[in-house]
Amino acid sequence: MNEQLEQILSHYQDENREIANVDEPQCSLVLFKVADKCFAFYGSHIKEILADRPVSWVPGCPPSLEGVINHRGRVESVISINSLIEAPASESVGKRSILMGRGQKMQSGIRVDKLVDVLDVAESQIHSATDHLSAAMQKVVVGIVPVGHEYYALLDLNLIFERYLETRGYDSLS
Amino acid sequence: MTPSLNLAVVRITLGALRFYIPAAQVQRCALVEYETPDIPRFSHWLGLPDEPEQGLHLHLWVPASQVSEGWYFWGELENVTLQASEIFPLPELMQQCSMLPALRALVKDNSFRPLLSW
Repeated sequence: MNEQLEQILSHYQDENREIANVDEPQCSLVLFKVADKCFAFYGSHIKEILADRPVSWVPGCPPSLEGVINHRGRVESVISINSLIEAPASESVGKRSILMGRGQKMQSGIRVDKLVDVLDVAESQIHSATDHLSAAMQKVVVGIVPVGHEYYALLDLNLIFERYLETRGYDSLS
Repeated sequence: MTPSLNLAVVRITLGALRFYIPAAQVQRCALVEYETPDIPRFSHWLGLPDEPEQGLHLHLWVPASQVSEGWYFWGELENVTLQASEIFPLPELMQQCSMLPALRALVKDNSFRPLLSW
């Protein structure tokens, strides 16, 4: 045993070693497009992503309530949120998706034109929603997320449902 | 063994639309012989466009609806029995946004159809 070496190493034993967590808090986002505009929901609000499927129309509902689907033994509504996010009505081409969203009080399918990605981003990458947004958008957008060369408006699902019920599914501008 | 739950209903067909009402709530249905102007059309009461004048012209009485004079409609009326597995509760958004009076549940046949109940 080399005493000198042991002495040197013993200094390290006394050191109160703290491991600094350098990982930033992350969150998962579901990125999608509606009428070529970029949006995102928190991944924690989206239970499932379904391929587009036939939706049963039910009379007496607002046009944005497209109908219902049977999903895992439950009947779920499917809505379009175009009017809430100031996107023109979708002239559907290509593969659309249904995001099964679960908020604090309710859940529903939300039809989107294109699912872009599901990815984890550092919370610091989510910028606060700007004042440049219209009054209607400020009610539902909680952040802006740059991904690649595009900016995604982060929507709060609970605010979307709240706003939907306020307008009772009719165009908020009308 | 628990007997399977089922519900006796009347199925009303108005053109391409179908509605269900619990049979216990339907008092009577008769062919229209003389049309009276003060009796509402079922589709108008539901807030829907006129159904095509096809099938039978019927007069339906459902006292629970508080529409004492009943409604006229064109179409069909059948007695059917629904299994519990064919009846679904309304999704929350539909519960709050539907304009259909007395919409209480959905019935799965070849699509999902409104079940009206008072």
